[in-house]
Amino acid sequence: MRLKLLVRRTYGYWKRAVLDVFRYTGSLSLLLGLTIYWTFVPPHRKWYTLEQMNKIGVASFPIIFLISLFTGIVLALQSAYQMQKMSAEIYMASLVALSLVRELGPVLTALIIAGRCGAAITAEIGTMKVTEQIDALETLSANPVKYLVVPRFLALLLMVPLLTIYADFFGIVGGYLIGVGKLNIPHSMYLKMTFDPMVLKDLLTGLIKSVSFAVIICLTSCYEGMNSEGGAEGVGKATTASVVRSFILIIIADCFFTALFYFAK
Amino acid sequence: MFRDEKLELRVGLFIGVGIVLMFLIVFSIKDISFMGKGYEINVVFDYVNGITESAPVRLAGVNVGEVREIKLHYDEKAGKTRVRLSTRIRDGVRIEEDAVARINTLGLLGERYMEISPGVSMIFVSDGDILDGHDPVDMGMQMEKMNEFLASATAIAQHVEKGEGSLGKFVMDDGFYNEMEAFAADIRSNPWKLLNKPRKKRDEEDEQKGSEVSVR
Repeated sequence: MRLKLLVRRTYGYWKRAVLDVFRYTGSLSLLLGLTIYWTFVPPHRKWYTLEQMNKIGVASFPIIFLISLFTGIVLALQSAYQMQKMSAEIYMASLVALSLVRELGPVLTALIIAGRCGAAITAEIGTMKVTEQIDALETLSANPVKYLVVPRFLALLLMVPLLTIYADFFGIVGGYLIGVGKLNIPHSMYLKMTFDPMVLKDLLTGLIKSVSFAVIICLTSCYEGMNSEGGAEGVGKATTASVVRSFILIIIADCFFTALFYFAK
Repeated sequence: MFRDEKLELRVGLFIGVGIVLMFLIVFSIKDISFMGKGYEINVVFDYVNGITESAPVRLAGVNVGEVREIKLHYDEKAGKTRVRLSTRIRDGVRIEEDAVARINTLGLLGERYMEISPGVSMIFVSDGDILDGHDPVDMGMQMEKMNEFLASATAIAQHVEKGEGSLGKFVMDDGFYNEMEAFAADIRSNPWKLLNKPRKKRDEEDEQKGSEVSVR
């Protein structure tokens, strides 16, 4: 009797979990479709979009700069420590550049933006939702997706790849500081070892990844914001869920794209 | 909506610098200059020792292109499976028809590349031509041959040890040595034997002298 109950409960739990995953996927896809549709429908909120670009891109620049610079430095130090044993410190330049451009640049940027701007978007839209401002928008026959999501979507789509470029660049600068300043690798040699093994594909796959991360951040944070309920506590919960879910989706998407770009035949 | 020139400037500056950085990185990447330009030659090998696509191609030690495609095919004329490497060579690089392609190993990580040694012909290969490659040494095959050689050497050594065959008898049998020693001792005690001619030969020589005299 007890076993039967346990089985039923377990079955119910997993059924709900699986259905929830599908429901979540479905609503995100729906939101993506709506966003893309409204992106191409004029008029656009030009100045609001510019403001979002400023908030997401320009204001995130200092943290991206610091984190990518120090990531480059740490990566250079760690790999130099290992490679000194084989007296192959020269290859450290290639390692730092390739791992930054292919992987760390896009992923770190996306995680920072998800934590910094995704959370802000969710909190902003969530507060509007719980104070019924979104309902007011609908009453004014202003589509909330067009009014709130599209400007953020455009801003993220443009700014995350740009910030990724900045992160790649400053990460390489960090590695350069260690390579040339501490390990005494000649300047021209370091640059040669940085760019020789790199192909255009490395940069392009990084940028494609960062565009997809931007879409993920926008969708999860806007979705969580628009579906938050229950006052201030609900907004807090929605913000947490938004950050956690974007992180998970970013890492999964990263895994998928890496497999697709480098191992699919 | 109100116009905020400061905001415009900030965002514009950010985007502008980002795009400049992107172009800086893109143009620092070397492989762009290879794209599209150049011509293709095929090099045929029996064995390629694990060369990979996009491995560098060098002419007289200078990087001039890369391996684009690796294909196995059955060569009906030769009656065996061969490997065809399609390589992309930069424009302006001329390769003689009798140039020799080899596959070499580079650096401590064992990266493979294709080395083309220039030939002396006045005719140069053009797009789509086929160049014959000289196979790299297959270490496994070498080891196998070495083993075969060692096995036969061991067999010979065993025969010798048992005193079989003329070599075995020469090495293992004392007879020849004893005979040589006896001969040397005999010569030492009777050195005149070295000057001694057998009777028959002496007669012949005498006869020759005789005939010469008679002719005179």
